[in-house]
Amino acid sequence: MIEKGFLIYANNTWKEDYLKQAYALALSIKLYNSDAHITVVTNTEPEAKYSKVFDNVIVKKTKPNSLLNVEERINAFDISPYLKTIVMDADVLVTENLNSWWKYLKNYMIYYASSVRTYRDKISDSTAYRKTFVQNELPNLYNTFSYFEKSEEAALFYRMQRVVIENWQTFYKKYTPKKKQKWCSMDVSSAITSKLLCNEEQITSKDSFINVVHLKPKQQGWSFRYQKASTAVTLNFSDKNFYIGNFKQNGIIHYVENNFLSDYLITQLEEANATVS
Amino acid sequence: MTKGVILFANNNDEIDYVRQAIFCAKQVQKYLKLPVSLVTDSAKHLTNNYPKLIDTFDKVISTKKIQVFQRKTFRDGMGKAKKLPWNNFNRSDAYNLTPYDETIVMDTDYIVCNDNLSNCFKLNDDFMIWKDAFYLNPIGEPWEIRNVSDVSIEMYWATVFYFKKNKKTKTFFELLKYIKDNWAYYRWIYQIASVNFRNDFAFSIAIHIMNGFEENTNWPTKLPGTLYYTYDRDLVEDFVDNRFTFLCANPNEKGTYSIATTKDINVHIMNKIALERLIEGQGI
Repeated sequence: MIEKGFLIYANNTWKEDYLKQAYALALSIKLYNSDAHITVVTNTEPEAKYSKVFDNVIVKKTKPNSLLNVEERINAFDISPYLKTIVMDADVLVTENLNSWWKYLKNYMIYYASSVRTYRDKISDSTAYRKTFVQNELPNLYNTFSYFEKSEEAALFYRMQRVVIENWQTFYKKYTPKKKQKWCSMDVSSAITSKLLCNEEQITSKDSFINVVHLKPKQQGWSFRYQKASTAVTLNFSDKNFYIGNFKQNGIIHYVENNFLSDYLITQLEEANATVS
Repeated sequence: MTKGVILFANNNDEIDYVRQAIFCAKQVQKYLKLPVSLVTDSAKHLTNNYPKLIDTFDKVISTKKIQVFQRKTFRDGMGKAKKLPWNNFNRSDAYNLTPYDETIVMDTDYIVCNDNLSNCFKLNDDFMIWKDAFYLNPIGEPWEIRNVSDVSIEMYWATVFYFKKNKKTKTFFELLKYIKDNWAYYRWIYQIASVNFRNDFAFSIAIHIMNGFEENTNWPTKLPGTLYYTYDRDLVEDFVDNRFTFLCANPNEKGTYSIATTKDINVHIMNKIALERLIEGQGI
């Protein structure tokens, strides 16, 4: 078994090309972490260019009506070829070397990011997108970035998560009565799982440096109510650094809106990677 | 190491910045006990109108009058606003113009009423400026400014700053000049709506660039004390025994004001027209 690696789910839909996003993410990981091992789980046979950057491609056909990859993502623990796995959403970019992250994660068997930053590097205290969590007192977990080590503790957690997801309507009714989501999400399901196992303190830390730049508009502290963050700021890559609205980024960026990921940005990442290898 | 304060005063048709500078300098001398030099394109105005007060200044540095195209709105409380020429372009020359090794630069509408700023010279920092400021209007929150624009960087106030001459501060002022010369480009890059060149914005951009496009850095450091200010929508009514009385405009009800007073506190008074009236009342 390979000691550590990154796992990305990229199941294309008629609307979104998640595989392209996963490709950009993989390019950004390799740019700063040349020894990284990356596995992509996808429902689409990747083109040759994409395969070069992924070390392992698992093609799995999804149900035609599958929503938000949730049905597939519950298999992450079982499918991962790594002893220690970082799982990231496809619409994420890595902006730095993650050695210190791996080192920090050694303290955990399971880890979820639980705080987010603005692109201006301020911890966001907005609960605009987290009403279900706040009103139902759920752990504020983000599946955008999670980690597990193959262990009994993690196996138990992910078995329970599977039960929650497979019976999500029942669990959501019971554990999110005040503000119930009408769809099954990984974030709410993971939070319910953690609440059931009373393990929030063992799987996250709000004060950790491991957090995510989350580009949803209401999270940025803007006075104007932008419907889309991509109409207010741009995402650029220059001289091996990512910039959003002229702010140099660090850590990982969850850009959410596909508009941020331009073909030009991908070309720049490809060129930067070519100089690394 | 020589220490001092420099003031910039470029008159337009209606605002007598030179007279403001005299008032400002007298307050500096009273509380900070520092020499004050004046950088002005209106040196003749000083000699013709205030011949007995020239000695207020350690040095008068005369600069060439330039044709100014940008116009700024000058308000006087809730009264009618005026659009007047606004020459604020030579602040970036402070490094080359100052006769001192350690300099405090301040706006002529910043009125010193205590010795807080003397502490600049006791600290070992090369550049100090305020980022956070306190608006004296108790209900003026909607008008407060924190960023150069909604989506952009935090704003530093170029109202007052301290610098020590060294390689880094020299680079900073060169960068500032570059930003000024290419303002159309930088205001676009930093998503600033205003066409006018504003020193607060240019300083904020230069600091952001000097810090590698990152915020939350440890340079520059904060000036001692707090920057208190009132806007040109507010009125300054009185200044007696180091106590200012302001009428602060109500953002929710036009034409109504609430009273605020300060004692022994330095204040940036942006209503220049009201400040002129006040200074006239002080006998200058």
